[in-house]
Amino acid sequence: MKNKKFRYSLNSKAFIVGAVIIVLLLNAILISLDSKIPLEFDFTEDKIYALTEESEGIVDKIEEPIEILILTTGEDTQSISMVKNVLDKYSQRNSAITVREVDVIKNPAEVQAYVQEIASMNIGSLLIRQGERYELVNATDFFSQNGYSYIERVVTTKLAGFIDGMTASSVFFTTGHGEQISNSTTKVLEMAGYQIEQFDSLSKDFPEDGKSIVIISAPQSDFSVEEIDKLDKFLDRGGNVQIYFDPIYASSDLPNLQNYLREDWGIVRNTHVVLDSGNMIENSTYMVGVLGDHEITNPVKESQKRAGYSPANSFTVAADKSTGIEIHTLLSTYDDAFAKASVEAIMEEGNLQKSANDESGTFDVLVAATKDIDNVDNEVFTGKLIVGGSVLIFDALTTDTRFANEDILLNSVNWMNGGEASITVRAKAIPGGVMSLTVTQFWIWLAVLVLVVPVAILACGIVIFVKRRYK
Amino acid sequence: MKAIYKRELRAYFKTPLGYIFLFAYLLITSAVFTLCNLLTQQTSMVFFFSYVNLVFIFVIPVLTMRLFAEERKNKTDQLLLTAPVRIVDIVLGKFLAASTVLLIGVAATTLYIPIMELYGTPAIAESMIGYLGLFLTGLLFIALGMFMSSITESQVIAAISTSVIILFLWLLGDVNIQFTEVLTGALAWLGSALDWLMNFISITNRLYDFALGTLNLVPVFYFVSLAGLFLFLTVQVIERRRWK
Repeated sequence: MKNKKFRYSLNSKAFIVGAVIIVLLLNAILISLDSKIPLEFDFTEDKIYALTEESEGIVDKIEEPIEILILTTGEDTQSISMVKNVLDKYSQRNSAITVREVDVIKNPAEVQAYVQEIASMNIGSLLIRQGERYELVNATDFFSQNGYSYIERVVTTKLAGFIDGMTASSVFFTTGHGEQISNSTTKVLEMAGYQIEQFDSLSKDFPEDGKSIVIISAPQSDFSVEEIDKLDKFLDRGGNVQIYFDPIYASSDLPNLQNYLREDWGIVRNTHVVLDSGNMIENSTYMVGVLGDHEITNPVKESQKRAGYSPANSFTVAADKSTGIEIHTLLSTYDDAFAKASVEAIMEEGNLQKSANDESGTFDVLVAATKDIDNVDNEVFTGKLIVGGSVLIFDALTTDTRFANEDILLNSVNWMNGGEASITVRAKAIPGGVMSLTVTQFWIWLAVLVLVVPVAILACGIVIFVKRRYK
Repeated sequence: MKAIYKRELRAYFKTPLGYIFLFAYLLITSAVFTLCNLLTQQTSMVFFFSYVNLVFIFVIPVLTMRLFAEERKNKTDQLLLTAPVRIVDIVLGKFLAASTVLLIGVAATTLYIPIMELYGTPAIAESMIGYLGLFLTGLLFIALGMFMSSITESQVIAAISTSVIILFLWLLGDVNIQFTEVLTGALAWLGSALDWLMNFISITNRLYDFALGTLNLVPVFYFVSLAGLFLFLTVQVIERRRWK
């Protein structure tokens, strides 16, 4: 019997040790597998922790090892956890990408070489490096104030910069005419991997590369005849131009530019101010518009997002437009829109409501045009032009991801460069939102949840206990 | 096992224990929900799930302290051990009964979602994953509490030791020790192993995935396997006592 007990005791100890080892081992295997294959299911509505096909395509092209360092102070915050979760997907997709955390306080030597640059960066920022090359991503770029995640977009964009042949396309903004260049627009383009450049079209030539995109943003003074000639030649080389007018920020008197648009492209700028008080977004002067049928807008229509515009000029097609030019509406107003003669007329009336003298109907506020041009060598180039009635179409609403304006902007530049060398990873909605609870409602729920329900349950318990005791 | 399960479940609701558990659980989780969501007017439950597992420090011992310690103290364990029922069934029956009470508590707190729906748009799928994480954590702690209850005949010691271990596991995630920095040279391997172990044991690190709305099989397996390990250890402890 004693021998049996001893044998049992020995077996029991061996079992326990064996079970502990097996559990540790299985967990270790699973943890190591997790860094190689995805073992995670993303239940967030916008799949914020999963990579889009576009990111996967870019990640797959990486061959040389890239290291992503998350710069922390050793503590995990919610945002750092979210960033880590997304970054894990990159390393799972491609083993050439490694991700690790660096405690900048404990291991300052690790980031010594970049100390000046990272000094102004927030905790949770990234250092992406490949040999001598490196890129920094500030943690402030990961989230928008209205609850959207840009983690995947900024990381994918930066990673693309390490791939040969995926150098950033440039978007050139003209200067020298009092142009209003929106920071929101340039930020969105930069985050999508475009390099922003400015040039004075009076003193400098338009870009040599016909694939470049030039944006003329609300000029306050007209373009000279020479500049118009340069612009025309650029478009004849197959160049891409976006011109934004505006009833407030751009001059209403730009005869050279407007004549060029009318005569060479068949687009007439109407300098009135288009409004639609029936479709105005609450507490703003932005209005909801109707998306047209075009490869720029069709993907956006599928996403069922709304597109907005601010008080704008409108465009009509000239009666004598050449047959080789195709013009498509990208964004128009609803039927009950109206147009006031000028900003001054609105100021006089003191409101944005329709009056008897206003034109009414549907107005096109954003149009796209293409023109096939044969050059002397009988090569055919397609010049692409987008004309907008307000520079603010891509301003405040671009950063408001409830609206499709950011998508339209990115799709438009993507359409212009033929879908090459651009990254159009969309911002993703972070789960949750804001509640509108009054103070009274808060106190009522507090009382019900923290007091009434628990006490009722406890009272039940006491009653049952007492009943049983004195039964 | 079914008979043990029914007997234990009935015991929870015929004595004040089940009610005390639900009272404490709902009181604390509701307070956390009020602070993390209603007060901040946020429908995201990430913060709620990050902090609410603290509730287990106080409530899990209520569920588990008596499971074996009381039987041992009252000598009713003799009856159980000599009954024609396998030890595994006894342990599983008790575990499932405690888990059912926990499930009632967790299920009751899912009512927070419709409350938020009255005033906003909560992320339902993400929140349900958070609740799953919370429940799995609870299961692990119940298994741990049962093990502690099996090795002592004092309910107080079982309760306190369970609380202390849960607190330790919770705090471990916040302790920022890198053994690889201390143990270098020939002991570097030990540093790496200890770092891995610290990271492995930490509960809070595992819960982040659930709180963020992602179902990762690694933490799911972690909770299930560790709960299984504690149940196995409990079986071994009882079995050993039977042989004695």
